[in-house]
Amino acid sequence: MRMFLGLAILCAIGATTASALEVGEQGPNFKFDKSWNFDAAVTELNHLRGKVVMVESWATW
Amino acid sequence: MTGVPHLQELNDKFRSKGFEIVAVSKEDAGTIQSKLIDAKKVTYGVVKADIGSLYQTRGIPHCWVLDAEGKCLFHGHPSNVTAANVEEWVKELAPTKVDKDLAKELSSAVKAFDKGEYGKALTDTKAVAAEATDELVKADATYLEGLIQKHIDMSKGKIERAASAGDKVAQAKELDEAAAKFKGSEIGETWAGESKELKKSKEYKDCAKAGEELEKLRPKIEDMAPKSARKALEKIAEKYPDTPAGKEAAELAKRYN
Repeated sequence: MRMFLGLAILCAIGATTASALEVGEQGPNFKFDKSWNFDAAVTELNHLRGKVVMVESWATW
Repeated sequence: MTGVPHLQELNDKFRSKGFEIVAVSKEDAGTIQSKLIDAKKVTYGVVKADIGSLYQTRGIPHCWVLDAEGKCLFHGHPSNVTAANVEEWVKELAPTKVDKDLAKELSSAVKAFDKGEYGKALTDTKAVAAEATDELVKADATYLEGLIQKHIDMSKGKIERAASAGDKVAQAKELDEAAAKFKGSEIGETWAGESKELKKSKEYKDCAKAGEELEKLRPKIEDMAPKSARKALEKIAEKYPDTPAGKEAAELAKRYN
């Protein structure tokens, strides 16, 4: 039980820190719900492979 | 929003050199349209998507720079990405044009390369290299082969990535793209053959069917009662447990409890 609890805590820490994308790791693909200033054929991140891509998260607020 | 001019500047300088900005917001399309596209007149790539859980967004704005293979090169505040950084990163990309004058024996290979016909370029280059007695011609052929090799590596990387993700449909698509780029060369033939074999497999067919079923269901799901949404998703997940779409369906089903 104690081991299980320890593991659960480790997993919880992992979920908040280690799963963030770090340098050297593979950037996960995602689909675009809607996009502006891209060709119609570009509907997900992987369609930009072969280029250097800067994924920027932003908000109007 | 204060970073908009900086991003616009990077876009203007480097988009034609293989640098793409994907500015992601999960806000509604109308807000993005009016506050960024209309008000700021940006021309870089803007996307509505929710990547919070995928990328573990840590404060906004934040950015991740990915190389040609999708590997993270940098992350941090967008203002820390300078023109000098981007200049360095795009230098590593496989060139799409031959950047210097090569021996005239290679002119048809160079022409093919510049058109993106890498298979023809490769076969031509190898033929010239085999016949050349002049050291300069040999050196130029080696140089051109090196440029073509970068494209081979890139295609290989894309195929391997799709394969390791277990996405047979994506793998076949990458194989087809690679085969088209390298048409008229040995490696192009190999990739075309692999794609043909893959498409005959049960794994590929399952992958394709799962994807189709999930995409058919997706637009209807919001209007469904949670219980039937969950059931429909679980059906796909159970039918195609080892496919990316099946796994996605299983994940989505958890939301409708």
